[in-house]
Amino acid sequence: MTLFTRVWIFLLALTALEVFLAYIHTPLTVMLLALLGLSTLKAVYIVAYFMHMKFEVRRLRWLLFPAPIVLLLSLLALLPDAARGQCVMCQRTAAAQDQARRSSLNKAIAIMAAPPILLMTGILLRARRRPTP
Amino acid sequence: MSAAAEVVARPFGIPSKKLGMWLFIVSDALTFATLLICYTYLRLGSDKWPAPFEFSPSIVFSSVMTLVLLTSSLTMVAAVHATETGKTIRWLLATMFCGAAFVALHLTEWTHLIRDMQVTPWSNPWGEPLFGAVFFGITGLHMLHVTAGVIYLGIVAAGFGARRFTRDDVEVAGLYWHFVDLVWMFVFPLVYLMAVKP
Repeated sequence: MTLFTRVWIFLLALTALEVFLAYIHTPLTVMLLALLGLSTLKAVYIVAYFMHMKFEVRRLRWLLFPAPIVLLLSLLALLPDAARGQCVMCQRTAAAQDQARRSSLNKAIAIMAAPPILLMTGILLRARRRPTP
Repeated sequence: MSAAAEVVARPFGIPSKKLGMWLFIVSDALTFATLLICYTYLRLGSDKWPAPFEFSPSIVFSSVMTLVLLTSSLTMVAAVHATETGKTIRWLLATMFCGAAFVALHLTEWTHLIRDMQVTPWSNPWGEPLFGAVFFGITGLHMLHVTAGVIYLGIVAAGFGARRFTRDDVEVAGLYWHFVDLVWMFVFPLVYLMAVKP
């Protein structure tokens, strides 16, 4: 049996475990963390073996992986709050504001979004103007 | 070519086509990660998130779809490894067949949701319209990737048969295909298993 067949059987086994997990009664957050953990393990095996990353030079890994990892960590930073129901509260609070406060919230979001969008636009314009040699 | 010249020509040890595909995969991974995390926040933030997926047919279907997609990754590996022995096109066709089977199964599952359970991107019987929006958004984008992948593999198979494409092109197509498989490894547990009918 080749290495790849063994990886395939391992991935199938992890999938079966996930389906089993969905049917035993666990708190929502525990199940979410277990499923995320198992899925990340599966992703690592797919990238390492099927996509050959295990056999590439280390420099390529440094090029490719920091950005997704930083993005995932920053997007997941508020997950504990969401799991405790803070998102619902926050959303309801915002929805309960009167018209003037709601529009000032919207303005705040626009102001916060402007710098990164401008920055990206600048980078894109520069990249267009200066083609690589 | 001396060793130093080799380093300059291939700073990351792989052909530039393959590097380009890797960079595309990373940016595409960011798109899917953002969508899936957005979904997770909505899921946790709602106290009446619907759980419409019964064991049969939905979970059986989606589990079989996972099996089909994982198997298609294995046949894709076989296609890349068979470039020396000349069975590449046969393995590529097997991979495309698995991809097409995945899309067919998924569309059946969609039809069941839309017709029998009245779930649309705008409304559903449980009064949580965002469920349909994120469900069809995420699975639809993934299905689009699978469909594009089947077409891509078809083009590569034809080009490889006509000797316009080389082993490298098959390998680059394989990278894309494994990535589509990888994304489903997150969509299946997060979207399906987190909404199992208790």
